[in-house]
Amino acid sequence: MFIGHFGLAAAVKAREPRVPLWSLMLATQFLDVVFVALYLAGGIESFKAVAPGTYGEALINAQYTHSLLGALLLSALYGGLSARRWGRRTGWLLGAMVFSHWLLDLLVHRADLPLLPGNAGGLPLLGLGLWQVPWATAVIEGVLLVVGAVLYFRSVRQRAPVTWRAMVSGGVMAALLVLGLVVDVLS
Amino acid sequence: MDFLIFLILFVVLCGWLDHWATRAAEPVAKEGR
Repeated sequence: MFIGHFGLAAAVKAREPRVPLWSLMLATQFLDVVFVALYLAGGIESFKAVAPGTYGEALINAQYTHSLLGALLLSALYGGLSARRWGRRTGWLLGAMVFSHWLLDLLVHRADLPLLPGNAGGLPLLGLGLWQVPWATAVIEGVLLVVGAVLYFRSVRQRAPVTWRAMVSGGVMAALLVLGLVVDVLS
Repeated sequence: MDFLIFLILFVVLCGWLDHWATRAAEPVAKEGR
C-alpha cells in the first residue's frame, strides 16, 4: 500500500478544502517517513523482500513506527503540532489521517505489525495479509486512486477562480497517482 | 528511493499546485490617486 494513502489524502482534501493539501499528503505517509528515518539511522527498522521484484512481496520490520501504540503516539504528535498551527479540529483530522496509514497497512501487511513498540511482551503480530493476493491489493489501491483523483478534481474546479489552473492541478494529481501505482506494481 | 521521490512530488508539487490553482485573483492596482 503506497498510492492508496495518497488517494485517501486527495479525497479528504475535497471534503476539507481549508486543510492544506501538503499537510494531508504528509500525514498519510508520516509513519513511513519516520520509518525511513529509522532505516537510515542504522537500520533500527528495515524491510526485506519475500520474493524480490514483485508487488507487495515485502516483510516489514517496523516494530516502532508501525506498532499500534507507536502509530497512535505518532498520530498524536502530528495532530498536536497541527492543532497548534491550524486549530483543534484540523489537528484531530490530521492525527486521524496519520492513523489511517496503520489501518490501511493492517489490511495489506502480512502479520508483521506489533501491538506495542519493539514487540514488547511478544504479543501476536497483526496483519490481514492482502498482499498475498497482489491483484486484490492493486484493485483496492486503484479504487482509492480513482475516488481520490475524481473528488479532488471536482473540488479544485469549484475552488479555483480560473478553470485552466484547476485542470492543471487536478491533471497533475491524477497523473502522479496513476504513475505511482504503476511504478509500485511493476517495481 | 521511489518513496522519497513520490513523497516530494505529492507533498511539495501537488501542495503548491493546489495553492496556486485556488489562490484568489490579485486585485488590479489603480494608477495614480
